[in-house]
Amino acid sequence: MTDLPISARPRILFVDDEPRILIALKAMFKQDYEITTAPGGAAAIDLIKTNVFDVIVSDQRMPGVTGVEVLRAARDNQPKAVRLLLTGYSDLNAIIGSINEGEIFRFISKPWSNTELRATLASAVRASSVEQIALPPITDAAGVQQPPSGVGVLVLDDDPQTFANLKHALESSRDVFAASTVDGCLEILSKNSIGVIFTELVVGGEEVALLLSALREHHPSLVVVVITHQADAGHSIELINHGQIYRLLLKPSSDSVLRGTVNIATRRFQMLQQHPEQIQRIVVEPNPQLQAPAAGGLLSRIKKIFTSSWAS
Amino acid sequence: MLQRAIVVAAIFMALAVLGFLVFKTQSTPQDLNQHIERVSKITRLQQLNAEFDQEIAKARLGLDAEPKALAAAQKKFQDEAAAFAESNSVLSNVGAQVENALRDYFQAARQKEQLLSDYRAQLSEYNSKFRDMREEGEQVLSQIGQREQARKQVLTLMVEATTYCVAAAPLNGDYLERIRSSLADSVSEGDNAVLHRKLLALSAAVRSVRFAKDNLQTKTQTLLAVPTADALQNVLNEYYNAYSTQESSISRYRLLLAIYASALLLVFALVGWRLRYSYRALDRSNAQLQDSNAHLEESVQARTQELRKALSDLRLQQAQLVQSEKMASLGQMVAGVAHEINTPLGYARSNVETVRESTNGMRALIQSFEAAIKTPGAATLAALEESRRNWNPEEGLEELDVLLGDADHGLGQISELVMSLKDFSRVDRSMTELFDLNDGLENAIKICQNQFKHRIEVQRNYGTLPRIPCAPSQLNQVFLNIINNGAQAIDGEGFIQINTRDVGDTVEVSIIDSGCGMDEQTQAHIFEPFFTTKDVGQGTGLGLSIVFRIIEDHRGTIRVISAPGQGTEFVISLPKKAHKAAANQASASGPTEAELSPA
Repeated sequence: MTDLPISARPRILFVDDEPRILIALKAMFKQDYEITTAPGGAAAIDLIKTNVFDVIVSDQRMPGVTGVEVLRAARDNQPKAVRLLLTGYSDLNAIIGSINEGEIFRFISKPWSNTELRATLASAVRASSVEQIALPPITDAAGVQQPPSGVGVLVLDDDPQTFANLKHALESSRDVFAASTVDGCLEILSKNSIGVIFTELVVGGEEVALLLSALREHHPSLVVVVITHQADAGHSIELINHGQIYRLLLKPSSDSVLRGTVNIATRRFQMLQQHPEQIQRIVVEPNPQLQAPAAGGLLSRIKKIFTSSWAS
Repeated sequence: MLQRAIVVAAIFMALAVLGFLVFKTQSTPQDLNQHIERVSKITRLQQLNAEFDQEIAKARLGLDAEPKALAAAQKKFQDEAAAFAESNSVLSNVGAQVENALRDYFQAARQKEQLLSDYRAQLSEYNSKFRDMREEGEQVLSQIGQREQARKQVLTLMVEATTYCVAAAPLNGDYLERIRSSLADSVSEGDNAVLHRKLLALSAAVRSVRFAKDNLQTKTQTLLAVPTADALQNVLNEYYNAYSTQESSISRYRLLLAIYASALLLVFALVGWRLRYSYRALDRSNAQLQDSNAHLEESVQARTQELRKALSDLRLQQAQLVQSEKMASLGQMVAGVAHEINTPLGYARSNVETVRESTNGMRALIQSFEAAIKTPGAATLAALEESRRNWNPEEGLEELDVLLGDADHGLGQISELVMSLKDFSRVDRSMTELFDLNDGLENAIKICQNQFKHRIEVQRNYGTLPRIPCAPSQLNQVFLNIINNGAQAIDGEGFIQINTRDVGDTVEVSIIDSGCGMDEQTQAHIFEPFFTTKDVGQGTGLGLSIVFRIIEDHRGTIRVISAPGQGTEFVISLPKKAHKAAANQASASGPTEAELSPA
């Protein structure tokens, strides 16, 4: 509990329609951070436009302007600010919106544990300390589109249709690889230069979440896009908090959505490759399952892949 | 109907014309035998008439005997005429001309009859005169003796007189007169007075004979002049005329009949052809009908089977939909309730933790106080100051109050919500429970609370209500649904007004929202299953149909009053007294309940 000078303290904006929540949060954090509160979405957007914040924490369900809208406005107006959603209950649409439009850092569910919330907020403040870098422009100075060569796309799905759709959408402008099992995926990752992975949540009866957490740990610049036909609110929250997935798409997705997602994801990969410090902005909570002995084999395999091929 | 009447009338007309024609051809039986008999009768009458006339003419010539032949002829003729007159009916109906002719004839015959008796008297007188004359002559001749001259004269006179009498048209009258006048002179009075007298008597007899003969002649002429023969001829002619006229008219009718009959035959043939044509068509359609009839049974059976299956599918789907509507509204409710509970839980828990954390500061401060009291000095005072800086008792205690107050408030809210949920979801299958609708409305409002927050003001105008027998959980669902819809209809800020009142036999609940309202077309459909104004996926369109069913099961009524932009009012009216059948039905029906109960 160190008292920093007022100006040096991280600025945090809390948004909630329940004033008691704001009081509680303020009581918790007023010693550590510079706290601003907004009693609703509209007021929050006004504040975002006129003030600078390092971290923005918003409730989702609010009358009038929702949390997703607040976070979208924050991303557009203050891309540096790290965005969190604090919510008692969110329907899937709100979660998908906050992932794809809000590029959210964490979901925090109500009721929260003060200890965890402090840790989350601290990691958010750390993430926000890294200056945000905009993605490289989609076209070069001459206006010619430049597909980053060498950035391969891997599709991990036991439904071949996903690969076919993506291949069709990209019109073979990129290297696209397909894997239908986690092992196959690791095989391809070890042999090819892969920057973006499109994955279903369950492949060959195996959950991919653990793989994603492991990959995030050892290959943090790999951009993950989840494409699924059965998204679930709880799953999605895990995918953000432990996997920092970049996008969540629902099947079936149109060609234009797929193409756009691949383009922006590869540019992000390129950016992360060039600016490794940016990885701090997408740091994840350690996945407790990774500590389990069962995950050991997987971890060591992944470690081997990335120490041999990517470290060089 | 009219057509049938026309056809029947036409058939009757055709038959009537046919009957008329047949009657016309058959009306006077054109029996050839009768015709021949008639003609032969008339001819025989003519013949007899001629014979009769002949006898009449002959009779005046017979000088001596009674005219027996005449009498016989007369008798025969009279008999025949009488028979003819008697049987003249055979000639009746033949024609007026014939009857006139017949009348003429009968008149002539009567006249002839009359004349005939006169004639016969004359004839007998004439005969006796002639006999007298002959006797006178014989006497004269017996007495004349040798007077050859006189004898000769008398003989000549006698011959001439007889000739006169015998001749039909005697020419010797003058000669006879000359002889007669000279007769008396042949024997002078003086010669023989007796003879002379006898001669004078003879002369007188001759004269009277001649006179009688002349008389008879006249009578005969008159009698023969009676035109019985002409009349008969006329009758015959008229009969022939009438017969031929009739014959020709009959033959005309016959021709007409023939033409008509052939025309009818043609019509019949036409009708028959048409009939045959129609029958063929009829047969065809009959066959088709039989065919389709045979197939109908099958197709009806098949269709019934399909329909039955479709019905059971529909029932199943309806039950599933009702269930999914329930689950959807349950999900929505859970979302709301979770948020509603997690928010107070969030700050309550956080506040409690914060307070506990601040106990460290408090403890440090207290320890510093104790140290300062135990060993007062600069060091302990500085430590006390440090502790005070870390945890300011004025600010800190005030904050503690606020935080604990909030936590208390939050816990109170949570327990209230949990109570409403408990009330709301209680399982009741019968309508026997007594329930205050105001409580149900209050529960529904609590559950919807998160929809209202800062946006919608709830105005309660509760009247004092008796507890009514009902299924509380069902009515709670009704209120929740209507209040929820009202809240969704309000864009931005607004109000929901809830009025309840006791109206005699019923209890009335009115729920008014200041939302967007709806047009008449929407109002007409809102209670229909699957009707929804929400976006696809936002609602099943079953909510209000379930509401309607629940109210119906309670023997109540629900109506809607609304206009676009004017908000909406739902008025629910429920009976105070339980309806026995309703209670049973509610427990028996309600697939929502039935679905939930284990089979």
